[in-house]
Amino acid sequence: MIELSFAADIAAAVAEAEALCARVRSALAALPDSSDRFALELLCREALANAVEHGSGLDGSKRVHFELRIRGGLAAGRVSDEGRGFRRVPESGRRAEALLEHGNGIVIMKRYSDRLRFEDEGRTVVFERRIDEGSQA
Amino acid sequence: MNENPSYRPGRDIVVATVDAMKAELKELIASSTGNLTVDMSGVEMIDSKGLGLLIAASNTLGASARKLRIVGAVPDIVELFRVMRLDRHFEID
Repeated sequence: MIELSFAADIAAAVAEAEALCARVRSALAALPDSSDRFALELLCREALANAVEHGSGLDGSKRVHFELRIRGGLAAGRVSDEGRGFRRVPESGRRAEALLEHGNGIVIMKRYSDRLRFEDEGRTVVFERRIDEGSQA
Repeated sequence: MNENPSYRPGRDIVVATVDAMKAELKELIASSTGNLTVDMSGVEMIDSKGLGLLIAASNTLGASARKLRIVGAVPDIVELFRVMRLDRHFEID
């Protein structure tokens, strides 16, 4: 069974998020399925980018908390920021292409996760994805 | 003027790299004619900002009846293009 537990606190800055994503990619190398590795890195990237840019306004004095846990064939990620949050998910009613053109990653997170929810008035995003554990016992 | 140019980022197209690539693409599109080929070999990851860059480039090209063609993308990225229905925007080889 594949188990992974990964947590980090970073400043709300693009370079810090990129460095964390590189560590996530290394950690995910243990997964047997390429699609799962790609999907989970993408989910982490989008959640971190939202927290750093939209949640924290690229204010490096604010912190972003990141967690990724894999156990029992389920990957769960949680990213929290210290921003103002939002009341309405900023995706409703707009076409995916229009959202992507403006770099909105929530539409990607919905497609690549099995469950996606926001907590704490939008300051925390939680995603889950079932993963293929291959033939490992 | 460069005809049917090609662009090879050679690294991930993500929030940390997209601004530099945006400037390079803008200059390449402005100084060329014909269709643009983006060679994705060496690109392991593209995020929403990267997809946004390619959509914007495709729209800019489309305004003068030019097209964006993607070559050399790994299967996971081709699948991302399909999932997000971007294969309607780009020709993907």
